[in-house]
Amino acid sequence: MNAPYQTEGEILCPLCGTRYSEAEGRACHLECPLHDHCGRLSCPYCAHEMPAPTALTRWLSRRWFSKKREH
Amino acid sequence: MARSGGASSSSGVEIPACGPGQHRGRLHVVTPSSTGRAAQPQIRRLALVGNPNVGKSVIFGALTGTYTTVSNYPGTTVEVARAAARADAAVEVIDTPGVNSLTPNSEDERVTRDILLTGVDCVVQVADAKNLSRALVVTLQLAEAGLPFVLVLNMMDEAADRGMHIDTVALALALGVPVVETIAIRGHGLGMLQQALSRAAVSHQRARYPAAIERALLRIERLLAGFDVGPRWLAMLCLCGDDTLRPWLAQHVPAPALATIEDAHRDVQAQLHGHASYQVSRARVRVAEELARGVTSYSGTDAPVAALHTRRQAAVALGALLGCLCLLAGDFGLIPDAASGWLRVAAWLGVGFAGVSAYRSAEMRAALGRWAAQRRTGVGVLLVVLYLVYRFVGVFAAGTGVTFLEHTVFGGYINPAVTGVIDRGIAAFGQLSPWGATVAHGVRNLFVGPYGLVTVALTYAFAIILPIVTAFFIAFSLLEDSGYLPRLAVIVNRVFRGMGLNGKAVLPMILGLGCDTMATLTARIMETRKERVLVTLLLALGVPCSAQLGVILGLFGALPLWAPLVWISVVLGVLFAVGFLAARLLPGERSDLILEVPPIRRPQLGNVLIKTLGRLEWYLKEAVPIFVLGTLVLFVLDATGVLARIVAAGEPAVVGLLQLPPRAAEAFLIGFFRRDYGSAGIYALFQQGALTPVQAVVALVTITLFVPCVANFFIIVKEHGWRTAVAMSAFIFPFAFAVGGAVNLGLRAVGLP
Repeated sequence: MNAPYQTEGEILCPLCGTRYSEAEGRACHLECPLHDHCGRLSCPYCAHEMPAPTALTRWLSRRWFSKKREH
Repeated sequence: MARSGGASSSSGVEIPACGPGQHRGRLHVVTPSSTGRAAQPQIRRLALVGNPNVGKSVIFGALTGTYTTVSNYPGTTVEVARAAARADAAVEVIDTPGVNSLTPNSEDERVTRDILLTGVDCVVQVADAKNLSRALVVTLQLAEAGLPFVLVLNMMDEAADRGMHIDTVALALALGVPVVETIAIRGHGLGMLQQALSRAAVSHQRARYPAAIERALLRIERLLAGFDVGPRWLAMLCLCGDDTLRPWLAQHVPAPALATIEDAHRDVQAQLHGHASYQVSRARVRVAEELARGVTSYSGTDAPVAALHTRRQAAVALGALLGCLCLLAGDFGLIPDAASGWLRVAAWLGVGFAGVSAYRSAEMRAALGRWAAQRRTGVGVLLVVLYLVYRFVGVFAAGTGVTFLEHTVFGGYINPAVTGVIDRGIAAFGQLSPWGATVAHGVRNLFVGPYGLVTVALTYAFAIILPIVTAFFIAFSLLEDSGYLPRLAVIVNRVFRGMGLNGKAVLPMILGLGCDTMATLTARIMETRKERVLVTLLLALGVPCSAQLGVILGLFGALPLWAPLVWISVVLGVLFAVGFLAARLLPGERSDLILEVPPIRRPQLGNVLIKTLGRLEWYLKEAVPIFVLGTLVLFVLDATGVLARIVAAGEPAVVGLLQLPPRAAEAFLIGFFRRDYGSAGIYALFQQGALTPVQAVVALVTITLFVPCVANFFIIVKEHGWRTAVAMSAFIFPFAFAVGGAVNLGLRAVGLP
């Protein structure tokens, strides 16, 4: 299953299929004068943006996908 | 030293798996006699080559020790890591930047090409096993380069998870080089890779090109013999118009030979109408796909299906198409009222049947995936997808969700409650002095007045935009999770080719549908400054961001169906015209779009919900404060009388040219803060009955083509400087109003209401 936020903090880009870490996805923030910590990640290969994992989505992701794995 | 390759009969030897814990690693060796040429007796320079994100760096780490030198490649900002091999300190291992082609389209690819040109003794090509055909495109170029190499199929576990089985023996025989299976991140198969290095060989596999290219290759290959890399590869670089090779050629090839090469390049360009590199890429992709298909088998639900034309698939396609056509006919009022209800039910059953079939059947998903990316059927699939998104966002969310939240929740409860609290609070002070009454009136207006934080900022943000963007984010997450977006990029790429634009421009345009600001940053992938400026201009001009698109779709739900058709025709027409014109003014070699296209998947409910929640969280954190700020600015401008002057100043354009009510100027004003905010202003005006359908379409066209929002403007300043950003805005501002005026005249001329 392709969870958007993998347990190891890895993100799967839905546009180009690249797997990247949260830190790599946040690299765009260094170059952007307005969007520091804007809550979005950008794929290092194709730049497709994804919402950055937050405490809420991380918690939901863990709950949802751990339940799925149990099943 | 010239190298030659030639095919001969192959024989394979399989070496069993290496030590404990490495049971997944296997090496398939083709004996040197089976290949065109044996490996170098002694390896001094070894290069790791492969597509981006395939695990090269992990393998580099495994092959080398701890002392790694990372430096910029001379004259570039591209980092190249070098280190001594762990097994033999005299061997230098080079980790090259990721490539999709050895005919450079980017600085990364240029650096890798240069490293190979300067002479390496052996190459380790690292491939993502899941994307074998993409890797084999590079393999074919290494074969042409005449370099001895080993093919490493990394991420074998992920390929197995997808039900893929790769016959590595058959692949090794087909290529004539050793093929090693690895899971580098776990260290599996790396021992086998060490062993395979001594058996690296030159591949005999070749792509066959159109006759004009093959003739030209024959003509110039002999002029390029005698170097460390194969003459066929060098000749191909020349024929594909690789300008970055010119300095190297000038240094190493005599002038008369260079003239012959130039002649051959011109001849090929003339015969293929300038599409040599495109034809070469297509030929390589075709051979790579054939090779990959021949050695790959599938098990489980993701198996692609060769034959599409089963009765069931035809029935599903027909059901979806007829369903959408019936709904469309109903929207246009072409169906009599008596039959409308039944036909709608039948239409939704048709669409639902298609959706359930695609969800349940792997065969249907595979068929759908191919239809979505093919030239003839892709546009049809795109129209069906767009229509369904419009029904969901524009009709359902905007109709039901907005009506409920705006009229029932905010109109019925929140706004009256807040107004009551404020009025009671003011009344509690008793009789107020004139100055006190003015302050009380100001405070009341600040919260619940015509530009009040509750009645405007929060109502727009939560009652109008939130339900619409929620529906849009759900639809977008569904499309993302299903694997449709890469197919959309493939279809759009064809349109862009028609415009004459570079294939690389597709990605920023698709990304602009998410956020134009982020997409402006990605315009950096374009080769020249002119191309970067052009893509930035197109983004700022006519690509609406996700929130704005959602609000526009929401308004379309309340407008007759001709309205979205006019809007989309005008916006696409403007983009096409500007792109076409700019592509003529900015000549240059077109580059190809290389994108992995995954299989169509069942969207996972958890993924869709989590991504939608993530996007909503971002929207609430980022957009709502800007709405509040924008409303505060409007409030202050209104209180100081400046707003009335701005509206009066904008009247010649807004009232005279666009024939909109004066208050529409306020929507354009707040559109500077965020485009979706401006669109929400137009939405609210339409709801209040202040706009006719024609006026709504004119206003939407104008605000779509309107100047970029504040965030986008500043990112343009950062990327291209103040002068370009101001020049762009100075062009877009009158242009948007001119197009809006033309649309107004056109729609009124045909007598639309």
